[in-house]
Amino acid sequence: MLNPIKHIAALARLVLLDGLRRHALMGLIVLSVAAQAGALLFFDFIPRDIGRASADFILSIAWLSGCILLFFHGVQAIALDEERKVIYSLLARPISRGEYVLGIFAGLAALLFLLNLLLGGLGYATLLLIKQMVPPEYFEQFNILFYLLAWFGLVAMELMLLAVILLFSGLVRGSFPVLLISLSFYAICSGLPVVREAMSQRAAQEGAQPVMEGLLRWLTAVFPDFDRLDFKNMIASAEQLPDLALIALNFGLTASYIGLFLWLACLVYQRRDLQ
Amino acid sequence: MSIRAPLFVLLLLCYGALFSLQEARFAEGSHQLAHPLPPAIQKIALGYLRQLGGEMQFIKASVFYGGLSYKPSKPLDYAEPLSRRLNAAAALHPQFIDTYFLCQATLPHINNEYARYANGVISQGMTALPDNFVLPFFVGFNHFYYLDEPLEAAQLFHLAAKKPNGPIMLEHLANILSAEGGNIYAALIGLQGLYASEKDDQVKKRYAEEIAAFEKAVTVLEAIRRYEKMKGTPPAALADLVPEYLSAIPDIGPIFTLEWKPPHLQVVRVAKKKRPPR
Repeated sequence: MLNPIKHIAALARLVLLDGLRRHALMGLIVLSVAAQAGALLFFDFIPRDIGRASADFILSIAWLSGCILLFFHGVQAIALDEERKVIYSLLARPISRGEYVLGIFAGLAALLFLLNLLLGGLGYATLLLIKQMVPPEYFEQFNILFYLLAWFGLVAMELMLLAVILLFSGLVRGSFPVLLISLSFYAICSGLPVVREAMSQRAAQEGAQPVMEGLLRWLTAVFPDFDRLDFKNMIASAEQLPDLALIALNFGLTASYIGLFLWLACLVYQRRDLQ
Repeated sequence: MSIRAPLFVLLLLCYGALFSLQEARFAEGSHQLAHPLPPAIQKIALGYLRQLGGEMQFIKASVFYGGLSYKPSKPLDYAEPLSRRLNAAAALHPQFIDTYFLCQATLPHINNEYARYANGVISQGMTALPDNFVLPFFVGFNHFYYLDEPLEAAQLFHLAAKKPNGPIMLEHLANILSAEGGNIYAALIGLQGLYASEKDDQVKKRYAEEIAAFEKAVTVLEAIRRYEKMKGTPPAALADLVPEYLSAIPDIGPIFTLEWKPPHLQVVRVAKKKRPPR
């Protein structure tokens, strides 16, 4: 039991160090710091709801940074293993293909976690600074627990995307097609809730369409609704207290989704012809 | 090598000249607020950045409206794109309250159509921020002031007064507007409730005056009911009630006056009757 974990941890360490060596983390941190400094200018355009707008801005910048890491560094890092033949030297060692997939996932997830940890700390400092700069009525609430919850939601979404990218990388050769398919996947995830909302409005006017509604519901199982992990609104507002059971359900679903997609990715890699 | 340097300078000059020309043309052109993409498309395109997108829509609208030198003089020239942009901002980020303040400040005064449109935009905020009393107040105010719909306004002021921190004066206003809309019994009961719970003597005195006026209006209302029961139709004028059903039409002034629009008896503020029409 310990050996597979050691193999996965060793590979994860390699992926993390490779990311650090290629300045993926540093570049994104510099980009995000510059963008977060923009938050200090951004809130000047907001007359009242400064707390909410600033928190939205900080979390949005972090999401963009995470997406850049996933779509540009993550996709490339996975594809380069094959293109540079690194995968052969790794698999020549006593490491299974499943351990290889999990190691890559753990390494990129660690990189992602490190990025979010740094950005979360910077974002917290920025929000505290903004809170001190404006009168209290424009930034009434700043709840650290909800701030952490919003970040957990954001990291959970990014991990889901990472699991999906790993699966697509196993199914398709080359970084560019994987990038296109992953972006399309994300676009469908963003679009599906809008379509479901439109369908429910139409159903209220013209009557229910159970077949279409059922299809859309099952599609959401594959293309998850990321809005359910979006807790940005709670950071600067005390109006809506979260339903803890629902939050636990959302995170539980996320964990099982990641597990399922990693399992599928392991299966794909085990059957894949690497020649 | 020798020709490359002058060519580069020539290219640079050419770029500078074209850039200046473009800037001059841009400055001459009319500055209009463009129509935004439909909110559904924006939601799909923005994903997690949806809220930031809503705030950007608000900023675009407020910067345009605040840029007086660019703004066309007639509100109808910019009302359509501005209203669409505010609607998009509300749809993308319904919890962001600044959108509703800008909407209330810029749209309802244009005409009745935009007052209704503003109410539609602000209603999104009422759903997203159920504890906020300002938003139902805005919608109620538009019904009362711009649309002349006192009963709808009364319902919304009543709703606003019930919210946390909702000022009690909105409850009072709701009762006055209920009476103006013809719902005199409800207004009287509401005012009596306010009178019973009020501690300030001056305010209590004012409530008492209004209750007295409403009680007189109720006697007229009951006379109308009796008339209708006997004759089968409501009276054409209040004077028809005298003397058989009422000894005289009571004077309910100085704050209010009676207005008979068959089949509704309204208690209208004298100040409103004197106000010039919009």
